[in-house]
Parts: sequence; structure tokens; C-alpha cells
Amino acid sequence: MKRNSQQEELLRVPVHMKLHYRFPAGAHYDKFFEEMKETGKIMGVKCPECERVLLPPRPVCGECFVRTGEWVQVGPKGTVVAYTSIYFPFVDGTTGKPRPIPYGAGLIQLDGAYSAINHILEEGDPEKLHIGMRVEAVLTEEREGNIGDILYFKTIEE
Amino acid sequence: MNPHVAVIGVSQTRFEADKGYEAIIETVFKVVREAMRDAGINRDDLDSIVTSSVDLWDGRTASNQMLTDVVGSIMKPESRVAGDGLGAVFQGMMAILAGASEITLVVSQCRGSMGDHYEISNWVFDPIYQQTLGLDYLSAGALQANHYMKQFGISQKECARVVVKNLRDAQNNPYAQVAREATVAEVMDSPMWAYPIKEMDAAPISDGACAIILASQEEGKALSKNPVWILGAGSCLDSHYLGDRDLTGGDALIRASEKAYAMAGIRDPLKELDVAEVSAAFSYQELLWTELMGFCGRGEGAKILQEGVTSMGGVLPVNPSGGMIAGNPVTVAGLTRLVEAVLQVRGEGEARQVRGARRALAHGTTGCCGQGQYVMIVGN
Ligand SMILES: [Zn+2]
Repeated sequence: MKRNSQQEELLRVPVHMKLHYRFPAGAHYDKFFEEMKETGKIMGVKCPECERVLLPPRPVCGECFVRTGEWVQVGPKGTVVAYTSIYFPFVDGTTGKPRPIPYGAGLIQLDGAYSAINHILEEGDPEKLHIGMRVEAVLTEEREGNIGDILYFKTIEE
Repeated sequence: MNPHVAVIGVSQTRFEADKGYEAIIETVFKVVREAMRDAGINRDDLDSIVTSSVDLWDGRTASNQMLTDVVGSIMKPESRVAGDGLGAVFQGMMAILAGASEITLVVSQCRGSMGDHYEISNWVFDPIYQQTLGLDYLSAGALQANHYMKQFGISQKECARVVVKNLRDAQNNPYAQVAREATVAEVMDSPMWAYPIKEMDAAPISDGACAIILASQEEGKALSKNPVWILGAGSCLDSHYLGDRDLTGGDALIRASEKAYAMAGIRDPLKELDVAEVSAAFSYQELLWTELMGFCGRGEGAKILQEGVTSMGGVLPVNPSGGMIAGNPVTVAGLTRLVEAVLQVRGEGEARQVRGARRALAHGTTGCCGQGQYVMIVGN
């Protein structure tokens, strides 16, 4: 038996986890993506009690513990509330291809929304990113009804 | 007997093969709100929350975090049990007995329809040795089934009678997923999955959720005219490796039940219990578990079923709800047994009510072949 030392590597077993799921998105995500696909609108949902417009839309306001109410169009312009530049490769789940690095990632508060949402920033240079900068969603021409319909948020001057 | 923890609210969803018509958070919100309504409390009254679910069934890690909004745990303490919901009740009881919480929500959810149940259960096993051999809940259960059936000379037909009884009784349960008149011949003719387990011997794959509200002695009395008390509780874990266990011996369940009986002051469970809700994922398990919990002698589970002892109208009806054969969301099953036990003691079992039920047993398991065992006794 080998001793666990730096000279002798013990057996390591490569394991690939491959499981299959069909996530039930629910009526709120269903409408969110349907609307994005059909009209290009980004829709939030409003809590009738605290009146916050929540994104992504959901059936319940957790703070008030009540069902959410009316749908509200938000964005497509918004403000960056947090950002980073990513220097490691990440396979884009919607395209299956690695995203060129560096790329910007941010939390963007869309105009009219309470929640800030995560998305990609076109600008990847950390020197050119700052909190409070204004951005606008850029949507794909052929939309499929998933989060990849928003390509990224581009920097805008106002 | 001076019980310290009350169950003041219960709720369960209907079990279904596919609840894809609503998001998980929608299902959980409904069941949590209904349990709160049943208890006469609102979110502000909750001191702590315990959730039960398993990441691989949820298809994401730390999967309880998706439930924060709908279990009312924003800015409250929440812990999570990655196992059976009845095990989560122990966690909830601890918070109350430690004096850290007066009112605790326990909720469990699973969507069997999202993934592949047996493919996922393969991941329960050691990835270096057992997993690559294809072991899953079904093949492991079949090993235990044979071990038990050979030891006591139990036939497949005797196991099939469990299915017939449970599917019939499930017709009285509005939450059941599968419920109908079936015959032993039908069970015997259903496709062989892993000898001797056939399709109809196995619990179905299900979607569902379940919630209960626990309260301290003081709050239980204050909030509820007639609270149901947890009179006894025992839990015990067997070895992980099947080869290290006596598959039929069931020491873990013997110990868990004996502890629960001792707490509740029960000497003869068959006489002193009025109804039992038992978590059996396969027909043979109901026979085996009833023996290990002392309802009869070893190897006599099939005999007392045949004699009607464990049927509706018998001395100790087992699974008037239909049990897991009627619906089986993973981890939700054990909590459902407790909800059913509470409804029985309240006299709210409707068509499945055991007349005059005062003391009920709820049983849950976690892991494969009943590695982890939970037993609770509830009563007025
Ligand atoms: Zn709100």
C-alpha cells in the first residue's frame, strides 16, 4: 500500500456526472420569455403590497409573503449596480460555445425595476466599467424565448 | 407523559405524476400558506424554518435556496435536511426543545418528474465502487426483498396483496396519485423490473409537497384548542454499505421504534396504536417494516395482512392513505405520513378515517433499503 506522501499519487477516479432534467419554469417565467420572444419587451411583476417590481418575475413576493400582481414593462435601459470582468473561459449555456475573454458581467437595475438582474456587459475592460454607468439591452434578431435573447448590455451615453 | 412539541398545522398537495403546470415555488407557497392557515398563524409568527429536499432530485445544488421566498424564511433562521421530511421534523423539534424557537415550519418538496428517479438514485452510492455497477434504489431494494422473502418464505403473491390493499385504500385519499381496485394477478402480471420487484410493487414517481407547523408546549396550548402532540420520537441510522448490514434484521428500525414507544409509554404497539402510516417504497417493505416495528412477530407481516389486521377495520390499519404506493415524492413521503397521522388523530381523515383514532404512528426512511429510520407517535 502506498503511503500518502508527495512522492506517490494515490488513485483518483474520474467521474462524469451526467443527469437529465426538465425544469418546470412555471407561468411567470413562461410569460417572461414568451413576451421577450414575441415583442422584445422585458417584463417585471409588481408586488401589490410593497409595490416593488421584481425581476425575474415570480409568483410570490418573499418580503410580503403575498402573491405578486400586475405585469410591468421595464428597461431596456438600466444602470450598472455591480460589475466584474471575467478572465476565465465560460461556455455560454445558450450557444454551447466559449465566450471570448475578457467579458463584462454585471448586475443591472433596469429602469422601472426594483431588482437588479445579472447579465453580460459588452464592455469587458474593467477600466471602462463603473458603478452607475448607463447601459441598454441588445436583443437578438431571431429570438427563441430564453435568456440568450438578450445578447448583452451595451454602454450608452445620455 | 408531558409532551413538549405540538403539531398545530398540516398541509399536503395532491401527488401527481407531473406538476409541470406550475413552478416548484408555486407548489411550495400554496402548501406553506395552507399549513399556516390551518395553524392560524402568519409569517411573522414563524421563528424558524426547516426544509427537506435533495439536490440531485432538484437538479441544482443548495437547492433549498430557491425556496427562501416561499417558505417565509427571509431574515429568519432556516436549516435544511437533505433527506426525508420526517427527519426534518426532528430538526424542527430540536429548535423548539432547545428553546430557540416557539413556532417552526417544516416543509418538504420533490419533483420526481424533473429528472430520472432511478438514474439519480444511482448517485446515492459510492462513485468509486458501487455506482459503476449500476446499483440504484430499485436493484438495491430487490436485494433486500429477496433476502427478506427467502428468510421467511414470503411469496411474491403475498407482497402483491400489499399493493392491492394500498391501491384500494388510496381511493379514499383525495391526495393520492394512483388509486384503484387491483388484483393480485394484475400485480403478478406487471413487468418484472428487478426480481422479485415488478412494476406494480414499486411506488410511482411523483411530484408533491407537504408542510407542518410545530409549536412549543406553551404556544401549542395557546394557539390550538386541541393540539396534536408528538408523544414519542426515535431515529436511527444503519451502515451505509449494504454488505455491512443485516438486510432483514433491521436493527435501525427496531431501535428507532423502541425509542419512540418508550417515550410515548407504549408497550404493545399493536394494541396501543390505532393507525400507522408507513413509508414503503416497495410492497415487501411494508411487510418488513411492520414486523420490525413490532406489530407482529418476524416473518408474520404477510400473515397479519392476510388476516386483515392491518387493513381498514382491522386492529391496526396500516396506510389508510394508500402509503407510498399511492404517491411517492422523494423526501416528502415521511412528512406526508406524519400529516396523515395528525389528520387521523384529529378525526379529519374523512373517507380514510380510522374510527376513534387517538394514537397514530408515522414512519419515514432515508437512503436505500431503509438505511435511516424515523418513527414518531402522535396523539391528543
Ligand atoms: Zn412585496
